[in-house]
Amino acid sequence: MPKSFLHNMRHAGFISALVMASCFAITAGVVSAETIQAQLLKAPKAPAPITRTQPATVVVNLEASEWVGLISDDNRMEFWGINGMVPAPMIRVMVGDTVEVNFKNKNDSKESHNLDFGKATDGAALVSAEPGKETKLTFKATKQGLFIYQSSTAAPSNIQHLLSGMYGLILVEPVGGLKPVQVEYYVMQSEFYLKDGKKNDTLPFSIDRVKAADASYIVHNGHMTALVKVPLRSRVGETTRWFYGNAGVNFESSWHVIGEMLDRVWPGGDVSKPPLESIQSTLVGTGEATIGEFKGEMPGTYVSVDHSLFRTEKGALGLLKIDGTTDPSLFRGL
Amino acid sequence: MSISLSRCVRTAGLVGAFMMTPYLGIHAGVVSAETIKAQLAFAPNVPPPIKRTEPATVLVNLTADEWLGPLSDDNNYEFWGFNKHTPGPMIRVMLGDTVEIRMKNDKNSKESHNIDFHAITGPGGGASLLNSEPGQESGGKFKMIIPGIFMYHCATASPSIPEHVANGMYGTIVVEPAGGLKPVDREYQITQSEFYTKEGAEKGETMEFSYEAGLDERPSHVVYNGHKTSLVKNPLKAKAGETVRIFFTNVGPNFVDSFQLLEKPFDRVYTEGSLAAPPAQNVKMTKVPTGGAVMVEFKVDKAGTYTLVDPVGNRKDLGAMGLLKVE
Repeated sequence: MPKSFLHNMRHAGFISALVMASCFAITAGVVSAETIQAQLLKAPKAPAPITRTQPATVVVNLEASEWVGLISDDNRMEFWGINGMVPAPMIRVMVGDTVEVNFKNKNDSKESHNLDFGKATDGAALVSAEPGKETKLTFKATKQGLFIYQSSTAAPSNIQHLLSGMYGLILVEPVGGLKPVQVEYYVMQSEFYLKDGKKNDTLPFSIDRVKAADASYIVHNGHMTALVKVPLRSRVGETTRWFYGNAGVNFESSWHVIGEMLDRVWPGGDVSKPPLESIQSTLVGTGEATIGEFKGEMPGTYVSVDHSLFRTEKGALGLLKIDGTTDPSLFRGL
Repeated sequence: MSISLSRCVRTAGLVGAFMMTPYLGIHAGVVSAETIKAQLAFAPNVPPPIKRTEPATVLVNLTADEWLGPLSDDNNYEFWGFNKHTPGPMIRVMLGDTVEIRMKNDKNSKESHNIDFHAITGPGGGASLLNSEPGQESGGKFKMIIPGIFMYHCATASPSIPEHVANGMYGTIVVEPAGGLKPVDREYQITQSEFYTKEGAEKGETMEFSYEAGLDERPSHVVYNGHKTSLVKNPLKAKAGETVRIFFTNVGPNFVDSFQLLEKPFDRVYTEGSLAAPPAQNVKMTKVPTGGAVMVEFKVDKAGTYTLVDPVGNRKDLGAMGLLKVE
C-alpha cells in the first residue's frame, strides 16, 4: 500500500521534500518484508529505531537543492543541501537491507550534485544528477555502523560541495537493532568558510579560508545557534543517545557534554565493538561519526561542545535541557 | 580528629587555601569514614594513591589567582590559575567519595572565576555553584559517580570561556575506581596546553594574550606543565626496571594532542581516560581529545634519557616536549 501510494505521488510529480515529509511520518516504521519508506527528518530529530528483524528494501527519496539561508542571526550564505536541510536527513536502515535512493537535483540548481554512500556498503555507491534530473541508486547495506554520506562532485570542487552543506548520517543497525534508549538525537558539527562582510550580508564561499583552516563558523546543525535557541530535551533517569557526526573538513571534534559524562561511546560509530565507558571527551575525526549515550542524573541545562573551546565562539555548541527532580546527595551548594 | 581540626580552622575564618595547604599534607591518606582533606600535588608530582576502601567526604580548597610568571626563559605572561600554579593542583579521590570544594577568588583578581569539573555530574560541572567574584568564596558538595582522569577548568563567560582556559586555569582530578589503581613504581602528571600571545614581544617583555590567535588556532607556545621548558630543565626521573604511569591531560584550549614516547611504545594506554575498559596494549602514539585525558604506563628497561612529545607539526619546537631520565 505505501509503495503504490508513493508511485502515484511520484507520477503526479509531487516529489518535493516538503510533500514527502508528511507522508513519511505516516509510513515510517511500518513492518514489511518488502518495501518501506525511510523516515527522513530534520536534525536534531533521528529516525525511529528499527524494530524489524528481517531485511527489507528501504526507499530513500532525496532531493538536492541550493538556497540562500541564515548561517547566523546576522548573515546568510548559499547552502547546498538535501531536502532543504543542512545537515541532510539521517537515514536509518538495518544491515542486509537493500537501500533504494531516488536522487533528484532540483530544476533551478546551478550545479550538478551527487551523494556517496560507499562507507555503508562494499564497493562504490555513488548517485549523481544534473539539475532537473533524477537518478536511482540501489545498494545493499552490508557494513553496520554510523557513517557520513556526502557530496563529492568535482565541479566546482568536492570541497565546496561538502562545505556548502551536502552531508548527512546513515546508520546501519545490526540485526536486532541497537539497545533501546528513551531519547535519540542527531547532531552534526560542520565548518563554513566565508568571506567577511557586514551584518545582513550574504557571505560568499572562500576557498582561501578553507586552505588556511580559518573557519568563519563551526556549528552544530547548520546554524550558529540552532541548538541554543531550541535546546534538546530529556528527563532525569532517561538515557539520551546522540548520533554525532563531524562533517569536517579541517577540524577533529572533541565532543564533550559539560556536566555529564558519556556513559558509553562507540568511537567511529563502530557498533560491532564494545563501547568505551565513562568518557569525558571523545574524539570525532573529520568525516567520521560517533554514537554516545548517557543517563541524565540531575536536572538543568547542559552544554554540548567541541571542547576545542575557541570553536564555541564560532558556534560549536548546543544545549540539552534535562527536566526532573534534584538529587542533593549528588550535587548541591554549600 | 581531622574533622575537629578542620572545623576549628574554618571557625577561625582561616579557610583560605594558603592556610589549608600545610594541613593537607598531615591528613592525607588518613583512613576515615567521615571527612578528610585532599592532599594536593603540583605537576609533575601527583598525590599518593588512595589506600582507603570506604568512600569519604574529601575537602578541597582552591583559590583563583592572577599573577605574572615565566612562560618561557625569555618572557613572562599574566597567568590566571588555581593555587598560583598552572596547571593547578592535582586532586585524587575515589569512586563514591563526596568532594566538598571551596573556591576562593583572590581579592586582587580583576576577573570573576569559577570551576567546571569534568568529574562532577550536574549542570556546568559545578560551575554555577563554584563562581566567585574577587575576594569572595563559594562552595559545593559533589558525589563522584564515575571513575576516570578528568580535567577541571574555569568556565567564566566574561571576557570569554576560552580566555580563562588559555590563561592557565585548569588542572586534573583523578577518580580512582573501586579497589584503586594497580600500584606502579612511579607516577607523574603532564598537562599539555597552548598559549596564544600577541606577536612582537621582545625578550624580557611580558607577553599579552591574543584572542584573535586563539580563534585562528595559531598558538605561540604549546607546553607541558605550564612552561616551555618545564620538563626539559627538570626531567622526570625513574630507575631502570621501574614501571612509570603518567596521567596526561589535554586542556587545549584548541588542539587535539598526540602523546608519544619516542624510545619505545607505551605498554598500556587507557584510551580517552576511561578506567572502565581494558587498556590498549603496545601503543606507539595516542591521541587525546581537547578537554580529555589519558593514562599511560610503561616499563623502562634501560638507563638513558627518554623523550615525551607531541610529534604533530611544530608543536615540539613550541614546547610540547619533556624528558624522562632513567638511571
